[in-house]
Amino acid sequence: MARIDLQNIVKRYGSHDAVSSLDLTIHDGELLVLLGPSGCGKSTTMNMIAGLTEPTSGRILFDGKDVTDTSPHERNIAMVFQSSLLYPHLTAYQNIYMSLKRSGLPRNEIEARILRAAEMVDVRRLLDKLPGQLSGGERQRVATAKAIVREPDCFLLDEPLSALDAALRMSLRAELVNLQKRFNTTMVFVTHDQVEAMTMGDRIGIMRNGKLEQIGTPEEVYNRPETLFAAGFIGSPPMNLIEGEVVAEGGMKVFACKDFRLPLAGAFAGMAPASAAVLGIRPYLMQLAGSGPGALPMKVYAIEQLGNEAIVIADTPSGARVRAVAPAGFHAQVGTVLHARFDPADALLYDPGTQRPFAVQDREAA
Amino acid sequence: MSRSRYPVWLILAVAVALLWTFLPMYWVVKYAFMTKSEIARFPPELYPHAPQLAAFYNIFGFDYTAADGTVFPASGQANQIMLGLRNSLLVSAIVTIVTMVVVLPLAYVFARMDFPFKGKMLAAVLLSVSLPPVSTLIPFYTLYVQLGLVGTLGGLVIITLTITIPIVAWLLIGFFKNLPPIEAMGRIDGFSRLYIFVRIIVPMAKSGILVAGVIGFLFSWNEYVYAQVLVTGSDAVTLPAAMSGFLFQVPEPAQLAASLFLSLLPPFFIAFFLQKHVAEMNFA
Repeated sequence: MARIDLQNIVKRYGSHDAVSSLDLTIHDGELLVLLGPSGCGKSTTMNMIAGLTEPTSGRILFDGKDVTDTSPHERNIAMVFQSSLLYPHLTAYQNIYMSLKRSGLPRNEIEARILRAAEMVDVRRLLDKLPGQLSGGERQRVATAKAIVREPDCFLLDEPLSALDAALRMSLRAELVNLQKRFNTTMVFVTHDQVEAMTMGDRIGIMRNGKLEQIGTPEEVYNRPETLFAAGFIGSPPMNLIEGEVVAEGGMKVFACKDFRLPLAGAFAGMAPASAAVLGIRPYLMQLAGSGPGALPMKVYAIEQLGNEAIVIADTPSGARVRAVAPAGFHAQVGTVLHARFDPADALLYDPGTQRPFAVQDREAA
Repeated sequence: MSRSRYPVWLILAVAVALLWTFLPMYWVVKYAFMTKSEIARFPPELYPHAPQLAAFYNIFGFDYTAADGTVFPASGQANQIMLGLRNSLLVSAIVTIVTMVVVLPLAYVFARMDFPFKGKMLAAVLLSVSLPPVSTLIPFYTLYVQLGLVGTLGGLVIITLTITIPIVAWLLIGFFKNLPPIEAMGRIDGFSRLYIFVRIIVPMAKSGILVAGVIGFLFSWNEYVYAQVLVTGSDAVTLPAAMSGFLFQVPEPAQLAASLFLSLLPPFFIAFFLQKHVAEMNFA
């Protein structure tokens, strides 16, 4: 078990910063998910934690000890690679054995550990097979056995489930979380799939362009996204983002977008007028309603039936594509104009300039 | 097999490809079993009516007496053919081994590691693949005369390596590039770079390495341009150079065909035994 600190980590390739001045603490026993689109620096960050990639500058501490210059093997980590990579010319048993080959443990101890690890992830009957003879899910389990057999201080998983089908992914997700909680070992999990991140992580670190956009519990990043990017990335269906402006009308602050007017409430009620603002509202917080003041008109683009509910996908007059949740079986012709309402207190307001929510200070300065 | 399994155009395309490949080979090989007068006939015979092995005896230096009493005398080129066969096997084997010893680490490093001027050095390797051997023939010849390497096996080995090393490197770089990032896993397991290369990468890439080696062997086995200029008529003659004697010195079509048949055998057997590996590998 280990607490991992990344201090001011930079990784530069030529003139491009894959990771720029990253500070990150991974608590002991925590499952931290690094989430972001491809090229955001999440895999580079993981490789630096593993010791496979050397940071251009900055320090990496394991339990307060500087490991920046130590080899991957010395860090006592275990890693599961993309698509559950295994040595293709070795059997499952030999693959697991390779994790302990350089451990210096006595032979019978190694053997006992391999069998125990195989037992734990239910691959004992597969030990004589080559990776090519295993299914995607079985390969994933063998890769997991290869990781746990070392009894590492930290598990690093680099999109291990990305090549599997949805149903298998769901069951393996739960298995991995269960395993991590039972061992109580620190785990870093890299993914671009926000559902995976939300369902697995104790905390989620959202990365973009080599920077950490936000880090927090799934509830925090879902309910209080700190950047526009985080707002649009987390949640399925994603948050609706509508561009407009904030104007003062009749002594109130109002969010305006074409003919749509929404009096602001809560923290945003007293903010200064802004020529550009982005309003964010979760589809689950929008109700279909009749027209009238405060109702957002939208033209139906498509309707997705999910069985327990329906998702209405529609375009606002300003051209923003929004989603609203409707009761199961809801039908409407494509092109019909519907109206949606939501509680202004549920809405978030972002400054497109800074990409962050309008801050309280802005309001008081006005 | 059901009739509708393969479309007609595919069957036709395969038939054309097979004909294109095998018809010339068949045409030559059938000469090996025919007499001079049969070969000279017009229109040409489609197959040997009275197949006989005279040409094979002759190129190995034996007279051959046919059933009707005709004597086919041993070829004057027999000595060259025998030497050529031995030298070709020797040169090709040495060239293949040296090529692989040089290229395996070279291709690995180019494919899987980063270092300064990698792109430019790679371009140099690939440029030499595209260079026709004839273009370097005269400078090499002049150099070899000065160094006393004309007519030596060592000289031929060195010059053949200038063909095989770039082409085999080119093939293997592509092959190594497609391997998964297994080094990272090896490093986490605590293995050295060398161990990872020898014990993990090489076994993983076995098929590709075998096939690349065979391609190196075949390039060496088929090398004619340099051999014709550097070793013809010497003790270091190779089979392709020796065979050309039947064309230019004493025209003997049947014996030429018989020695061609001989030279087709090693590639044929290699291709036959390596089918599995060729199908397994993927240079894409």
